[in-house]
Amino acid sequence: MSLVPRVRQPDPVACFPTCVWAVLTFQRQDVEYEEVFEACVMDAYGALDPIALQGLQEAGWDVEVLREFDPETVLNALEEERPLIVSLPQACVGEHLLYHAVVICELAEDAAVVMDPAVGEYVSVPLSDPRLNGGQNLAGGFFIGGTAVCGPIPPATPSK
Amino acid sequence: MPKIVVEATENGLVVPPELLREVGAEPGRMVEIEIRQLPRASDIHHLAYRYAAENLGNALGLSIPRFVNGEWVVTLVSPDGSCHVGTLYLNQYGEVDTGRSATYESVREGIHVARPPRPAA
Repeated sequence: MSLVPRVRQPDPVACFPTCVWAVLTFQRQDVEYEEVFEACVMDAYGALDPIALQGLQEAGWDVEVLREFDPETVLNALEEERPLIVSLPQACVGEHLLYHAVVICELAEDAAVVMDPAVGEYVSVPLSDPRLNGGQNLAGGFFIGGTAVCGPIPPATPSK
Repeated sequence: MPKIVVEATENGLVVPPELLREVGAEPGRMVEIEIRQLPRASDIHHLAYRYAAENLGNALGLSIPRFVNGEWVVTLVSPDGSCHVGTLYLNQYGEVDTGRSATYESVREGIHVARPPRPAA
């Protein structure tokens, strides 16, 4: 399993940049959370995915969007230390569902293990879970990477 | 020829008799029905989310889609669920009616947009 740092998002709408920061940190990149936050162009309604991805690219990171879900692609990327970041419908507010970005750290035949920034822990999600919609909901996720900096994985806290 | 959307039930498909009259299919006349599966509510929900994430804000809450008068209706709430900020209208194929649906501006209209706080150390 890819031991992406377990980290809690600093506010309710920041799951997206928190996941990005966690993956970059896992890849031993020396990056401040604020850099990621600024690149994602966040506001109180979250980010616009295309703007955020463009911002991350302009900040110097490679971004690859997963157009169609293919387990092989995700597994190969995991082997290359490129875990997939994906948004899943996870929380309910009244009758409304909130989508939530998580990092897929392991993908097996029957379940995915994700780093969930809402709780800052690894969580197992059965692939039969309707949230994954047979894997269809994993399309639209993205990989991020860049030039790795050799060294130990920094502490799992998105702080200065 | 008119095209209609009906719900598959345990008893099969029900074509309203008024529609049959409209096309001149009197009782006893043979008609051809081409069956095509349309996106389910869960598919529509995901399509609505993709639209919201790309155009409105990826932290918005989305209601379970309701099929009303031949179209899907998805209401949007702020991330904390405190206020209704708009509605998305999608056709039976999951295409968003951009002319009637919420926009980036309408979602933010009249609502204070604050930068999220700095993460705690």
